Amino acid sequence: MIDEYIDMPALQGQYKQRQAFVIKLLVLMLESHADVPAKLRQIVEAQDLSALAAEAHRLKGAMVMVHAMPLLLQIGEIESSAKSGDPDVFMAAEQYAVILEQFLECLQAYLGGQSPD
Amino acid sequence: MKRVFCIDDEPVSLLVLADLLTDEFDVTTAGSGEAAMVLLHDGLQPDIILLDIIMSGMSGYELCQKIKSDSALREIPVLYISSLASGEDEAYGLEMGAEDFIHKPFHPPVVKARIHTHLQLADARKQLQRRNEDLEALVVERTSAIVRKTEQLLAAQSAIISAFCALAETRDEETGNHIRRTQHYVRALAEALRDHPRFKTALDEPTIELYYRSAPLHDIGKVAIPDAILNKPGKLTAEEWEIMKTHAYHGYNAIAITERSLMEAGDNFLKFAREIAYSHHEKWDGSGYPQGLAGDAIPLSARLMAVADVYDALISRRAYKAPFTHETAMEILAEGVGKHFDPDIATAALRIGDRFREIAEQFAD
Repeated sequence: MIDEYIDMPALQGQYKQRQAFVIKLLVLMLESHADVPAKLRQIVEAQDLSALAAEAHRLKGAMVMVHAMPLLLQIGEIESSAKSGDPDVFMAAEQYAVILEQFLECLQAYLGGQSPD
Repeated sequence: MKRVFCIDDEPVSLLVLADLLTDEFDVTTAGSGEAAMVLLHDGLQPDIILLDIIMSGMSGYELCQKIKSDSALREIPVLYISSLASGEDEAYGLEMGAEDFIHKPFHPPVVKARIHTHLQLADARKQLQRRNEDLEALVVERTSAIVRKTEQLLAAQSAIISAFCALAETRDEETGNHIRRTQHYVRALAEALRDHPRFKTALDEPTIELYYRSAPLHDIGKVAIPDAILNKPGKLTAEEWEIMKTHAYHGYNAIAITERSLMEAGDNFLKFAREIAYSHHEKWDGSGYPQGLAGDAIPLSARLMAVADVYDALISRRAYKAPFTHETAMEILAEGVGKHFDPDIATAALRIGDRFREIAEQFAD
């Protein structure tokens, strides 16, 4: 269920119940983040803390825009840990990649059932 | 409509910003710092820039620095819009030259309010700059006008002197190059004394220049003396001498009348000319004429002229005497130290005697 990931009432409220724009935003979220789980795994494999911090920061910016609060909190912690050089952060990032995939699948399912109007 | 340029490598953020602003502004977006620079160099002229900080490739800090170091772009306000939360991040961003920092998640009314504020500030800056440029242009124009007026005034002064001198020369057979020599002696003396403790406050460059320019009028009063006396080939009688002495007053009077009618033009040119014409026959010990002034009561301009005039009279041929040599003239000046002449001025003349001789040779009759 999309509500596990996104606070839909807050999202709808922010964009003044403009369903078409909310759908457009979520479609963009889906399309522009399709390759992010793979990117995260590459960073984990390379053990690149600064790349992880930058990618986490970018994801954080996206999650806040769509009110994906649980994902926002987790990626915020990953960004902080990567910046502080915590070696356990790579495991967390790998787990986040899985969660992100699940989120994107859920989002795709949600959008499949939505009409822009 | 003002143009807002939004730069963020996160497409979702760009979409949200564009949606927020598009009803009030012309919105252009770029997905990276590099793409933004290409657009800016291709002539995009935004009124304000909203800039993410953490971007893949060129960071927002780096892009801001490039914008602020480009003279064509630096006046564009830059507002960071970032989820970097620390005060250090914000301070560093502002050090790079940005105007403001908006934190994500942002509140749409706050973003709009900040944009409006910075657009107004930028407009005010531009107006101020235009006003400054207008004022600078006005100052240049007014200064040129003043320079032109000053040049006209100086030309008028020169014309007055030339006219007076031409008049004097037609009347006085002795005048000739005497006028040129004496004005050069006066300047040489003034320059020799400009660092002297008694004179250094009075003898600045403009004053010396005015002395030089007004000195030729010292004998202008002679135009009022009858030819029979002025050009008499022999010694004057006591009565004739009394008439001759009135040239100082006539000179003073002619210049004073001119001075009153030119009061508005008001520099010291005619004042010095009047002093010189009236007082150059005064003597340090009080035995001169027309007022019998003594010591520092005699205007400095006239004390300088007294030395110059006497030296030149001594080395010049007259109907009643042969010219003295330079050495003899200098000896006579030395005898007059503290009696006829201000001791410091006469001493200076003795010290620069060679310069006096050069001037005499340069403007020989």
